[in-house]
Amino acid sequence: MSVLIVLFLTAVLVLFSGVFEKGKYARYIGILGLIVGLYFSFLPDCEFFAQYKAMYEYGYNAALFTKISIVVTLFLFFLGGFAFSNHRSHQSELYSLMLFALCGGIVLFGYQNLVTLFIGIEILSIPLYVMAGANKTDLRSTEASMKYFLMGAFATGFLLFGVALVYGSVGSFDLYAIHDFAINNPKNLMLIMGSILMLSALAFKVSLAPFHMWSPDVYQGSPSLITAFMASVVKISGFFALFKLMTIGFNGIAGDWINILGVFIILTLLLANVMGLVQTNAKRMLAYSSVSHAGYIALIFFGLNNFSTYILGFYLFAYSLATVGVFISLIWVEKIKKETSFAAFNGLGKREPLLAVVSTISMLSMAGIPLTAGFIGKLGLQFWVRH
Amino acid sequence: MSCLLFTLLLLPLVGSGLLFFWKNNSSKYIALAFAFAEMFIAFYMLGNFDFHPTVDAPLQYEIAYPWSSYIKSSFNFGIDGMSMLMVILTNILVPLIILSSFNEKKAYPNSFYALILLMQFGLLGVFTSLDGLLFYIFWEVTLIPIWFIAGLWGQEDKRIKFTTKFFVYTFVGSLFMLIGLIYVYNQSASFALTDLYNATLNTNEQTVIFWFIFFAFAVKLPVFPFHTWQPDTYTYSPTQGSMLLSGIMLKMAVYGVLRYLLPITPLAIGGISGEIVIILSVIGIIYGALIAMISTDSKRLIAFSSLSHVGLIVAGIFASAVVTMRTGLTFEGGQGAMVQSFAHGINVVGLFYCADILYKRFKTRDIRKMGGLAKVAPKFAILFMIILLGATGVPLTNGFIGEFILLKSVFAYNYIMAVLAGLTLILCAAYMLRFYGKTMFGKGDEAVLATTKDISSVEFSVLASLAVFVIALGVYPQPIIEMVSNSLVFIYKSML
Amino acid sequence: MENLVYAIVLLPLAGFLINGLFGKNLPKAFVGGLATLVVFASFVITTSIFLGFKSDSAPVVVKAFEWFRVNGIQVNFGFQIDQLSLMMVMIITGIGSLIHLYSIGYMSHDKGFYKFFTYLNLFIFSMLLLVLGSNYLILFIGWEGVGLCSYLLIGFWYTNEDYGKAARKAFIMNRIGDLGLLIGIFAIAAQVNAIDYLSVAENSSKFALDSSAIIFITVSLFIGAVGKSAQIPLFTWLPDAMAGPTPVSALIHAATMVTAGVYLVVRSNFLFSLAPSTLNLILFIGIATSLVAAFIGLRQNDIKKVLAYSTVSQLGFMFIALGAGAYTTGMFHVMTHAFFKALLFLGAGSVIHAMSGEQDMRFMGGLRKKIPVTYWTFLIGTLAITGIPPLSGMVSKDEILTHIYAKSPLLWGLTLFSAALTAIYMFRLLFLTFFGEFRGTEEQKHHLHESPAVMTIPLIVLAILSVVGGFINLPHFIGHGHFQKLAHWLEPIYVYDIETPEILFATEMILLAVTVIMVLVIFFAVKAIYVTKKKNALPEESYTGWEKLSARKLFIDEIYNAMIVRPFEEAGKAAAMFDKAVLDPIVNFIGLGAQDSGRAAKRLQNGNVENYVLIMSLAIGIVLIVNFLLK
Repeated sequence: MSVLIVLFLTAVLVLFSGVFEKGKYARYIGILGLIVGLYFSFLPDCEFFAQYKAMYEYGYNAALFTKISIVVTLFLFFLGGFAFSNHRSHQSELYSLMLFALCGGIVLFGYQNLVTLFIGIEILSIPLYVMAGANKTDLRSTEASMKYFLMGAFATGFLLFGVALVYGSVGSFDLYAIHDFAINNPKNLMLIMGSILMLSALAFKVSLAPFHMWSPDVYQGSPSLITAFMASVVKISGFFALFKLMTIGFNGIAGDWINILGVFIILTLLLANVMGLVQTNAKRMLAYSSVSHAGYIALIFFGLNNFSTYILGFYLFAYSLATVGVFISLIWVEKIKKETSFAAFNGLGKREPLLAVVSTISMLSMAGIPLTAGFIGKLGLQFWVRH
Repeated sequence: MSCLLFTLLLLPLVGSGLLFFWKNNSSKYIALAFAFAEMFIAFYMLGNFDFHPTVDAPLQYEIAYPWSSYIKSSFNFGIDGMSMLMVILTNILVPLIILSSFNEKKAYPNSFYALILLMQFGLLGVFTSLDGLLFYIFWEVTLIPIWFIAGLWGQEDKRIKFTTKFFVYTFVGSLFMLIGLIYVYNQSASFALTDLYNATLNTNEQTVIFWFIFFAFAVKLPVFPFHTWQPDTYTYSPTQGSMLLSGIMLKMAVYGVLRYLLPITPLAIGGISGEIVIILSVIGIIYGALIAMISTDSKRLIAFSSLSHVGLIVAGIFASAVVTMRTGLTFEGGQGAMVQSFAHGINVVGLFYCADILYKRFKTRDIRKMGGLAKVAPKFAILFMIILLGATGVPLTNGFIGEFILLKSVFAYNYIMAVLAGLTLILCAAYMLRFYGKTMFGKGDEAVLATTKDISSVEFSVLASLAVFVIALGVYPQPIIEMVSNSLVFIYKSML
Repeated sequence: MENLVYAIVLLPLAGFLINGLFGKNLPKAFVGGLATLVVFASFVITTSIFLGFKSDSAPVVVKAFEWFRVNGIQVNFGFQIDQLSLMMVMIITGIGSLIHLYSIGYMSHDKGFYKFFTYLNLFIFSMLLLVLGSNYLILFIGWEGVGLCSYLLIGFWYTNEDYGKAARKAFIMNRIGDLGLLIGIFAIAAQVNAIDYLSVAENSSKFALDSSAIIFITVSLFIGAVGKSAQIPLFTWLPDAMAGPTPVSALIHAATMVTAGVYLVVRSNFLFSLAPSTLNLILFIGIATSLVAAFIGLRQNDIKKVLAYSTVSQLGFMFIALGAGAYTTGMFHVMTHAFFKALLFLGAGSVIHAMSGEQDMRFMGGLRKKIPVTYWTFLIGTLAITGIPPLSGMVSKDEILTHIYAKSPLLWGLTLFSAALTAIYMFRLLFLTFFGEFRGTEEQKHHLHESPAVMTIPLIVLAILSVVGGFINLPHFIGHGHFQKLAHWLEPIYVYDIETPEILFATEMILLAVTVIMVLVIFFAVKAIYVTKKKNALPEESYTGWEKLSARKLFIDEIYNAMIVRPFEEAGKAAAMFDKAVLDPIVNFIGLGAQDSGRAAKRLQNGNVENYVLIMSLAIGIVLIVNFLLK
């Protein structure tokens, strides 16, 4: 919780710093705040916050994922100077929005209660709707924002409906209460329906098929740094939320939702990989790649054990780093060539070799070539699935 | 923990890293220095190698370092007879391959040589790893440098398309192998080789696993009909890339078949799967030879001849395996395979270099446009002839012994197959002599020949070194056979 | 003894290395002299061993080193000295040194002088390995080695593409035979678990007479012999091999390499004697070959081609002898044939030399006055080959005829017919070349001169040998077998008893008389045609009827080309097409398939939010309903 507070304050500060000097210092304040937050994330939570345990608890998993997200966001902030050098104005707003969204993610890491889940989702999503449309001069950006908002609202609707059904059957919002109820009443239809609806809503968030259709358009339209943020932090948060919900809350009725999830995964892997093949725009292709990775990550549900969270965390971390790496080159090309079709990448090796190397390694990592983290992650997943 | 082995493995990696960040143009000398150092280490290790260890403890120079107790895999490296031979082959060929590029001006030489050394690292890792997961990792590691070499320094108009095809095809193959290995791992105690051998698998499981793992090797060797990537990739890669691919990389697959396939899935091999492989490889022998006979592109010709020769190697391994399962222990196929692998490595590198030399003189790979070079380049004519004879398997050259033993092992399986496989004797002579005749003999184009010179000292030293190996090993092959016999006995015995 | 054996084998190898590495810078006399000397030295050493070797001495095996061990069979690099190998080595080194000497003169104007002698020495080395090896693998090494040298020497003048093609053809055809030999060796190894002659001989008794195993082995070995010794169907390489310099034709394609097949069969007598069916096959092929080749030789215009077909035909005779079980007779004919055929080829070389390179007999004539030494020696050779007593050729041929008569009078008749054809083409050659009027150009006439001493001395030596060579194995009826020296000498070689045919003295005399009379008649008939009536040979295209068949070599080359070479080329092209048009697309298809489905799927993603939302709702709806129904 202390981390949450630190980040929130940082976000506010960054927002207000926009008043001074056109927000030139916004980024540095943000970085500073993130570092402080990172420091706090290593400390155990204050006793004071224990009373809010029913809503939010900064447990071990929460700490792990918080650290991961903050580090990734730090990278993005470092990158931000380069990415936004053309946009002189409104920078502070973007950085603060990112920090707000991050807060939302942190809420999701420690939620104990369906209400908190909902709050976290919203805090995460709403800034993103705005950030997606940050390129005011680009029509695609506006389109992305609109689409994201509309479909996000739709998904939230389902989420709430699901929450309602669950509450109706269990009588409580508490995750562990739901857990106990599910174990004792595995045949409760309302509970099952509710769980499916919630699953679908969260699947939207992490872009599993058939709820992924917003990803290509939104990823392509948003400013590249925001896309990177979506592909990394949002995925991390969304997945953890999903993971916690299904494995703790709905553990007892696993038999009901696991098959549906399986179908989603298969659809995701097939569709995303196949469509990724035929893309000509790098950003769009990365969107599909992101979708397919969601499919892989979701495989973790099929081999659960004590180490699952670590595996999940490691894979998400590795994947986020790779994403950042790829997006660096993407952003660079965008600045020079003003577009992100594949053709625009030609000759990157010659002009900026180090950049090319970094991007290549990142892509290899995403492909899962050994000696990269991506491989280890994929390997770990494989083992789980075998079991 | 063997420091020697450790150094052997890491030296190329260090060299590679160094060269990646190197600034000026002396990278080729540095690379050569590293390669020679490697060669010395390897020969030193050979000198201390015990040729007749007790069969049950065939490993020497071990490193064992567990890195994950959760995934039961460890950094386990070691050398026995088979790996020693492959290590020597690698460390002989890499300096020669580096040397072969000395006369050219490569673009981005630092990266080029760094990649070659990285490749050496991967190859040595494959040959010395005693852990299934480690084997797979190094197998994939070798894919990266060759992808870059072929993709960046290959023939301008074709390289991207064919390198992608090569990469994807090989990668898919390796994935199947990974799945197979993981399955076996699940039935055994750990990834360590000895544990994998002891995995309990019934016949059906073994059959499926066999095809999964074999698919990776089938693509790499290649075995008909999984070879379609090979001619294009060999042809459009730069010469050094083709040398690495055909000279050493495919030996990884031969090694893999012996090390990982035979002892793990013996029941499958004894059944129909082994016979199918033999049939496919014999088809490959004839198919490759037929196409080589009508090829007009020098590198393509060599590629198809490689397909043909590798077919015999695989046929021999499996013929002995099948006979072992059905009648009694016989491992001559493995012996022949090892001898021929070594010989083929040397010969094919020599052939590709000769093709390169021809290309530099005639500015084309079309052999119909060449001719008469023997008149102006007698030294080259002799060395080319020696290497060619080695490739054709004329007795007293290195190619003969391996061919002899392999055909003998196929004969033990089925004499008709031996006759079919033996067609390589006739066909190989046909296409090789045609190759030599069209490029070296005849009148040739007077205008072109007037300005052509004989081979330079660099070219001479590479070719002469190879030629020495061709003849020396042809006259006295016993050391190689002795080196590998113990490990092979162990492997074929593990089948029973 | 050991060191002597090593010397025999290594001297030619040393000559090869010295001339090969340094010959370019050494004077011609040195190069030629060294090459000749090493071969002659080997001859001398062999003779000394021979003199000390008794006819009933046991074979001596000299093991040089352990070569390799495969699956229980240990192969040693070793040499076997026995009566058979000594005989062969003496022929090889003796005639070899004569031909080396001759070549010093013949090749003196050639730029590749040192290369020629390098290859010749290498050839001698390989041939010695072949006959001295103590096991089948060493034989095989020599076998392939001589094939290689044959290739190098046939294509010696490599700027001519046709010569290169002829060289390749020889090598490849040989290799077909080599495959058979190799399979035979594998079969022996599989059955007996050893491949050295002594062990195989010891264990040969385990084979039942005419069992499928022994037939398989012997037929495979014979296929090897067919390739190397140019029997039907693998003989067309030999006439083409005439592209090489004449000394090569003399040494390799007359006296030594081509007899390797005969040597192989005799060496493996302990196998062949157990397979009568195979022996019949050998007999059959021998007869067919001798007839076909002799027929073709009747109307050839190139002097060397006539001799080439003659060689094929004479080899056929040797195999007839083997097929009839008369191993010694076969070896006898090997020896006498080496004498007179080498003589004839060297003589032809001398003629060509005198004719400034002309080889077509239509443009020769009347040469006997101009090049007398060549003429007289050539005449002796001709008389020997046609079988005029008491020359060597007659003695060995008569022995063959006698043995074959004992087997079957019909076959004897065919063989006799073949001998008649031999006489016809040889006398034709003799008369066209040396008699009548000169039909060449003025330029050539001007240059006609006898060859230098280096060339004529070997001719004379060989002529002498052709005359007296027969005396080492005179027919039984002379001296009651006392003069059958060769038969006694080779007796220990044979493991299984050979039944010598019972021929009445009277029958033998009659057969002999018939043969001789026939030859004399032919002599006068042919003389009448070509000398008295002055008939000349026609250009190839002008022949009709049976002459056309003969001149055009029975169209066998064309048949082979159509039935074998072209189909292989077509197969290669078909395979290449299959690769490109079928296999490649399948692989690409898999890759493309993914792409196509991607494109299809793309259409779903059309950018309409309503679309997306609709799909989401549908998905949820379906899931819920399905779930509901399943409960």
